[in-house]
Amino acid sequence: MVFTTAIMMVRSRGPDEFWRKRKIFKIAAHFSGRRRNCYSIAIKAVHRALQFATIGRTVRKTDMIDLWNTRIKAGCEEHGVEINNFKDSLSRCDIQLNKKVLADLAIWEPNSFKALSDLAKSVAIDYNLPGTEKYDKPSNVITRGLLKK
Amino acid sequence: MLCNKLLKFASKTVQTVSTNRIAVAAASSLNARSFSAPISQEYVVDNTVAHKTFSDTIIQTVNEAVKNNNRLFAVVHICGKQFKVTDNDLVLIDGYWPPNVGDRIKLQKVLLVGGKDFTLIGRPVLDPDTVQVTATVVDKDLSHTRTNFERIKRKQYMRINFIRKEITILRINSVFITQNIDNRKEVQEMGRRVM
Repeated sequence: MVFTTAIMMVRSRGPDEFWRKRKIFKIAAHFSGRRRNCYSIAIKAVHRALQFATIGRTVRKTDMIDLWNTRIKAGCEEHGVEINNFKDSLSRCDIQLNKKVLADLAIWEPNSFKALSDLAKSVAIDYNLPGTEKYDKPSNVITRGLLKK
Repeated sequence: MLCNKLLKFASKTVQTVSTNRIAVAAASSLNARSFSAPISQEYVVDNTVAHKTFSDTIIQTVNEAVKNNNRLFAVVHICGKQFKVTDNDLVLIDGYWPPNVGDRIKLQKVLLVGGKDFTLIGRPVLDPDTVQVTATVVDKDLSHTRTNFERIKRKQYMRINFIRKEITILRINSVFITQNIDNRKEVQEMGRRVM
């Protein structure tokens, strides 16, 4: 395109109308009703969808953390430990497994998770953490006070 | 002389004060311990040998369990994230990570190793000489395009960016325990650190 003046260049609006619209229709291809065929409605829907996609990437992280927490909590309840005591005593004896891995272990490695929860229980009793009065000291854990700092 | 006298006087006053205090203390606590009563002694039994044999049997059973297992899983820490892996697993690492395609890597931060009958838990990591997790970098690529779109209503504000992050795919070759778990050095080296 040749622009005779600078004003003419400002006036010309980007690519051809067909290509500009086709870009939007491509994204809206799987929408339903008039949102996929009418441009003025489609562009609103596309803007909304893209915003949701952007926000969703951060929201998914918090959602996953919630999911892992519920899974760990369920595993803890199965073995009779409170999740607060479980986390606290694991960090006290310097076991730095994160929520994702603990949730994985709770589902796929029940024996390992039971070992962790028994350990957490006995460490919680050693430190006399709040809420440990109701715990029975597991007989299979031998700490000899070594885990306590 | 005068100095001595002064000192004596001072010591006398101090004594009187202290005796007074003791008397007050005795009066206030009726159940004061009488020093004539025999003190019950605590006898500490020397059971180091029993403890040693007990821990040795446990370590031996774990060592036998390690020998009987053929497939182990491990929790490894790679690039700020933890993964639970076994043999022949593919691990996708998001973001910048220096190793190149074809590099064989020994993963040293192993937080947990488990098998059918046993689990070794690191505080926070296990001995890198005992536990060996090896991996190969299979692929380095860019991820799919992520659209970052933001817009404010009625304010003529709209931004669109397209992001592609680096991704690395690792193949876990093997997870195994090389030696007996009680076989530890006095001084350990791990990368640049000496523990």
